Amino acid sequence: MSAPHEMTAGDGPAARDSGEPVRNVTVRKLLRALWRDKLMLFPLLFLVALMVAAVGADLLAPHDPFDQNLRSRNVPPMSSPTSETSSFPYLLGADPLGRDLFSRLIYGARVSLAVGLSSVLASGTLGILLGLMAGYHRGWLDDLVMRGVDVLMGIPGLLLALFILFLVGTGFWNLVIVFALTRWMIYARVTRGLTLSFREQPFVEGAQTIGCSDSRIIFRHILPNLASPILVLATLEIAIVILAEAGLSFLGMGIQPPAPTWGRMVAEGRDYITSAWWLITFPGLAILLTALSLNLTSAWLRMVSDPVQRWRWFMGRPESRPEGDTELATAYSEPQSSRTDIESSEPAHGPAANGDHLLEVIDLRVNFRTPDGLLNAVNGISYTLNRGQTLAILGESGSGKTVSAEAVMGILDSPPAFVTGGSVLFDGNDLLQVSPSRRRRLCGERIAMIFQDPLTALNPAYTVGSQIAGMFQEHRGTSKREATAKAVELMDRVRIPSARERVHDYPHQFSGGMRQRVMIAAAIALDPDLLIADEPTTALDVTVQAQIMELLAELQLETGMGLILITHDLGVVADVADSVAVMYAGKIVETGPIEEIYSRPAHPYTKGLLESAPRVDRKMDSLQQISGAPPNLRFIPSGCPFHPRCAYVVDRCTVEPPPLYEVRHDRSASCHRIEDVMNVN
Amino acid sequence: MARYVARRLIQSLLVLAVVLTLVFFAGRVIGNPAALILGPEARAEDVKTLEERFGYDKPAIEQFGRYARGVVSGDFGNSWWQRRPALPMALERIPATLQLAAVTMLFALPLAMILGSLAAWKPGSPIDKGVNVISLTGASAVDFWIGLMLILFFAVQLRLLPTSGSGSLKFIILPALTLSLRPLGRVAQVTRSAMLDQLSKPYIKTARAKGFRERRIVLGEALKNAFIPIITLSGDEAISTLNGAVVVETVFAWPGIGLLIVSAVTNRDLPLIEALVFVVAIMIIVTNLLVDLTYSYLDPRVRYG
Repeated sequence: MSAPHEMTAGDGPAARDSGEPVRNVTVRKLLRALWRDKLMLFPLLFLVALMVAAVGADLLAPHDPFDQNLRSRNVPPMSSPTSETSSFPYLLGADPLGRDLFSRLIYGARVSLAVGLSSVLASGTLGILLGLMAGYHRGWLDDLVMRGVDVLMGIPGLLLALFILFLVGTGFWNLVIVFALTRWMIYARVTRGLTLSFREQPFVEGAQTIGCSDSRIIFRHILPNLASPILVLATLEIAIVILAEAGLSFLGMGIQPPAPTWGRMVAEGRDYITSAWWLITFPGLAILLTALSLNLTSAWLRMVSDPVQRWRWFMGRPESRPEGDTELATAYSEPQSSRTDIESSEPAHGPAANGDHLLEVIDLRVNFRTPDGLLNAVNGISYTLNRGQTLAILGESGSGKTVSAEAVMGILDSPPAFVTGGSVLFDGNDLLQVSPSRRRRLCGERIAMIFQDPLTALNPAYTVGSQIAGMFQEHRGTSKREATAKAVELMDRVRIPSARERVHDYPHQFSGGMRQRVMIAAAIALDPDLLIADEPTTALDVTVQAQIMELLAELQLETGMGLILITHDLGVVADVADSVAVMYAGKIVETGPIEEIYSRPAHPYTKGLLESAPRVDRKMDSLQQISGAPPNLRFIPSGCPFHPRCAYVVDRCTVEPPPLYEVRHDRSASCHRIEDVMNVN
Repeated sequence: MARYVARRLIQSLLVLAVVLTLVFFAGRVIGNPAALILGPEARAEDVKTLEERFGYDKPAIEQFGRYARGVVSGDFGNSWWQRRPALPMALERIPATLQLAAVTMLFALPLAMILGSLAAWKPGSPIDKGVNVISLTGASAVDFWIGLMLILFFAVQLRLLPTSGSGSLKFIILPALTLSLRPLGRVAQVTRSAMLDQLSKPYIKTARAKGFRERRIVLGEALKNAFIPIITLSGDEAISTLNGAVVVETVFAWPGIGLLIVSAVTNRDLPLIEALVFVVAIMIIVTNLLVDLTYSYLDPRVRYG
């Protein structure tokens, strides 16, 4: 078996020196994984025992597998033998010719493993070579190989094997050749795919530039990286080949007598099914356990060698979907430290200054639980919104703006995201405390949301009409016909031309702007009180962006709904928003009326954002960039999270996190040097 | 649509022609038909007599011409074993195999899709673990042995069902059950991963934001999009029930194509094998065509694209 060699190949000096992505299985990694998944000992031990049995059959078998003894025909398991040669009991009984079943099983393991391993070696070599050549050289060779793969994969393998064996006759080598010819395709396909992807990677391109020969690149740089996927595949294939060999043996087309094979033992026991159950039971069990052990091992190896698989495994574990949110919210709720800031963040202009807000978010916290630890995506944000008002939430990607909106909406992906504290008061009710079913009914009915990329946010399998009409059907129980009529009205309302004709079209038949109009139509279908728009124009052309924003502003004016606009683009929100909240590293760093903040930012980050955006209302010599990158949410910097990128940084900033200072009665900012920042203009 | 079907049919006919040509040359050039009939211990002069009698000593091209004319008119020659036309023998076995495959798939597919969807909906739940066990069992299933064990239990011990043969509905239960293990596991597994994939798509978030019920989100929104990989695999599985049919029909003496293939092989019946390859190839082509038509029905982007 080539596996042990390949397993360590990835650790070789060639791999290490060139900085290749060594994602291979090493012996140490395997042992560590085995320590973690102790149940895997069973299949692995079974396979080891099988190999020992196959190799040492001559020593281990208590009886001669060919020794016929007419006095012990079909004796049941555990009978004492009547023959003189051996006094060892017939552990699993004896067959119709009085031969010891257990000894025959041990010799049968030899046949199964020999056919399995040799065939996989042959088909693997053939497939890997073809796959490497196809993937590395591409062109006509690639076409030819892949066409062959497609054709052969479409033919039932056992039938093809039967046909070839019919022509060439049976026998060990013929079997191996048949399996090599009928099972190389999967290796070729996998190898080709990986080779194609490795080709583009720096370590191969680098080897090409320094003039390595093709064969050197293939065998020293690409092949070692294929080791673990191929190992996983080969283990699986051994199981498939052993099962197929057993099937052929059962049909009389496998290894011919007298060599004992498991498949033929079952076939021979068939005639005695009513009188001697052991004859078919034990050989069948042997095949089943072997295939099962190999399949388990393959699945385990895949998990060990592929970190993504482990991640999925982990993701699968935590209890359930969003239902868990409310319990967790109460269990994890922390002292609400920044409560004092709430009043200051309230927009001053607008009708409802009496505290009767449409939406009031207080100290909202969201964590991501990942295999690598906790990730703080939203770290206690608070804001309010009144009817008829527009709040823009501004920030770079990773600032927590989308996650906080999804938490308000109650559509976080849990796991891995969990609300760990705070409250979301909508019309005075804490959404984090209401039952999941009530919360679900609020979604769409009173709070609606639209998303960044309207193509992926619309379901490709349904007509746009049915996606709008679904709102009425789900929430109001409207008939399909009536709901479709309403969908046409809504499409008219968001100004989709010839709505009546297009209502039965699918999303892919619309342009980006029209798709977003469809999204908006569905969102406003039930006259919600609050609309959350998550980067509604980011995926659209610049000319369309303005039209969509105009439409949103117009609809808001008609309906008086509250609007939250999430964006990273200052220009988009400038004309429509009343107030703005700037987010950085999961916190609101500055909030207030939009004109105020535009003309005199109080936080260096806001200032940076303004200077990096082109503006028509101010003469600018050049666009400034904010230096550095947004922080890793797992390691948020101490003190003020913005300090590593800040031009105003002083010693205090690195240790003491700034609270939200009130700048004026209607605006606040989280910076120790507000005055300095504001006065520099 | 009609043009698409026509184009696919022409392609299929070409593939069929290639397959039949390959089968001919494999049978006449690699193998020696006369030696095949007479078996490995035959004397050389007997082989020669037989070759002359059936025209196997003629040049390959001449034989191929005769073979091709025969194929076009549906004549594959007489079965050596039964001494009657081979093609009708193969054709009359189609209904039994189709019946078995249909019952198998009708049982396995809906069950697998429901189980896979539930597993994807709650990863790590008992149902998810159950799906893992089922697909592992399906992948490791020793079909002929499981068939025999089912016979041992249901027919021999409990005497509930007949051991083998065909006739009333009772006869199809055990073979269909045996045959369904593999597609059940594989389709459930693929449904699970396709559904996990779809459930992480943005439109699912939209559906949640719209306040749709979970059942509608999983079965209405996601499953319709997950159908493409599921149907692809189901087509493959339907084709590979032919693999299983060979073994299972032998175990249960089910008079279908599979049983006839085994008989043809054990009786060294070349004309019958050639007719069977033709019939099997047509079954595969039709299945693939059906899968393609299902695609365009399910995915509007394919339909209009």
